[in-house]
Amino acid sequence: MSVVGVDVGDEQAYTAWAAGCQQRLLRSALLLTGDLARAEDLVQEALVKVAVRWTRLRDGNPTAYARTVIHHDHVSWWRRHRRESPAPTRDRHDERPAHDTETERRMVVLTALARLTRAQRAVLVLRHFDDLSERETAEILGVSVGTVKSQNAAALARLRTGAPELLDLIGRIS
Amino acid sequence: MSSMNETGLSELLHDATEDLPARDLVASAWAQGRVVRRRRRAGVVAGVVALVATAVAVPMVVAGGGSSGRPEPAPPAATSPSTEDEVGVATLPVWDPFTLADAPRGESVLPEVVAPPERLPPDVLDNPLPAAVLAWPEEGRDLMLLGTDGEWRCVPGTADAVTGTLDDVLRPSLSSDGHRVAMATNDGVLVVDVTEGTQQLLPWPDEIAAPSDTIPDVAWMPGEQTVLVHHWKGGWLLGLDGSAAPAPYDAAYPPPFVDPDGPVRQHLFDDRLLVEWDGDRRVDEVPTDWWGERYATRFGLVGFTGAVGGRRAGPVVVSADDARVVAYAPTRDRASVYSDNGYLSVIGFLDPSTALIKVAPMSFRTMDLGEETWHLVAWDFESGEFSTLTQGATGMRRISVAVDAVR
Repeated sequence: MSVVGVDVGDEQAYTAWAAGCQQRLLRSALLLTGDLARAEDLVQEALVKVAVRWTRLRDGNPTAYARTVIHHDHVSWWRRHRRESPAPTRDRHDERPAHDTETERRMVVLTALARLTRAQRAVLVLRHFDDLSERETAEILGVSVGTVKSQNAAALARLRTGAPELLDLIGRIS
Repeated sequence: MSSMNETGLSELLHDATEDLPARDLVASAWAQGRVVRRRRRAGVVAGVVALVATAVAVPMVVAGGGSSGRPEPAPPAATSPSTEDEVGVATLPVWDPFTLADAPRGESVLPEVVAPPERLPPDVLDNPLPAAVLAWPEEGRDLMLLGTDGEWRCVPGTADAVTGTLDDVLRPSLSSDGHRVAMATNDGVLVVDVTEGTQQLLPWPDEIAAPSDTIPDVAWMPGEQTVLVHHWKGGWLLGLDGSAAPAPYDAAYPPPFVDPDGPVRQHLFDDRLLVEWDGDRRVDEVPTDWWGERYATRFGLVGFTGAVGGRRAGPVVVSADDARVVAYAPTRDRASVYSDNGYLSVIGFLDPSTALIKVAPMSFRTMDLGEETWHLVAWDFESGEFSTLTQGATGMRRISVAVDAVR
């Protein structure tokens, strides 16, 4: 059955794709924003935009498109709200006892990432969480590969000097 | 940071986000995407028809973006930290009204799609109804009533009953059984008994008779013998027996709301109190920790559009006895669509576990005003299920519903 040019097979294919990647996108968006509610909004918006264009994206790389949407929308949001506090916020999952190491670890990570510039943070998340190449990262962010290299180096340097607690955690898991 | 530590950083980023709660964002995304596709397709078809008709090449703009494949730059609305855990409702799923497109149909006398007839229907004074299930006002037309038998009627002479205000559209109020409809007019409150085909005008008391920019809302008191007028100067009670008296309730917004079977209640937001009235006596008050607007009450419950503990507005049901939250369906509410902009209202209770909601899925980012589809929805807040009773075009926003006549 066809509904405005999209058939049931498309819905099934979309559902399978989206169900497979939504959690990964959500984790990435949380690292990007530091706010779970905003991360959910970004992912939801990206999934809707992919759904709207599914017939054109299904044979391509919808995940890359979704990542691009998330980053572009985040930049737009950030430009409008940059005067607001950038501090990471506790999400629902953080309402657990302080000895919960996963929660503690997340707060340390988000606090450390909040010390980066928006561009540095985006590069760091795409390179080190999403495991994208420099070229893929550059395409999503709409910058040159050279910019990705320099932003990545600057981000690591800033974390090295400004986030010793992060180094401590990395030392624990390495 | 060495390359080994870069690997450690990657592992840390994964570990730190590994246990995020799983959210089902997929179903609502597909449903919302389908709405956008339909609208774009409708826009394209309309544009093609216009081109054929005029044979003039006109650039066509379809709301919601082009087809370049680039994402639109518009961002989501600002958010703030959620504190939903503080009130113990953290596990509630976020409800996206766009998923109503796939919701089951609930039991109702209402048709699947409701729309008033293009030609004015017969006069209700000459052709009474068994009961009216909804009243549909439109600017410049007599008020139209849909009977429980599926027939439409009009209330004659009401097309220009409100003039000189900022919004010359009637604001009807059906009694819960659908036997009577009341509406404020320039001359007073017009009351029509739709089952007998009779009407009477309750003149304005001098205190509230002066012209106003907006016509006041009215509501039926229990027993359907008195109309409560929500005037900005304060409430008034106008009896069908000709009596008129100031109402004892607080003049603050939001106005008081009436249980068809019993008391009048009011949420005094500044005092954070839910108060109950018995006649002119304030007999109970309980502290609240939520905010809301557009209230309804029955069965010891209070329903409204509001938020509990956090930022997400949605339909809420609380206990009238202690203001405890009974049910809450947070929505994303971008741009305050469902809260401040009124695209969601709890308008009554069908039974002690089902609220009646009027809602239009809306996105100011991708849709134009007037494009929305309104739904009457039965929300079984014990099971969390939503079922649609009927739907209609943008004019449905202003309808009044006789809650007891819906099923």
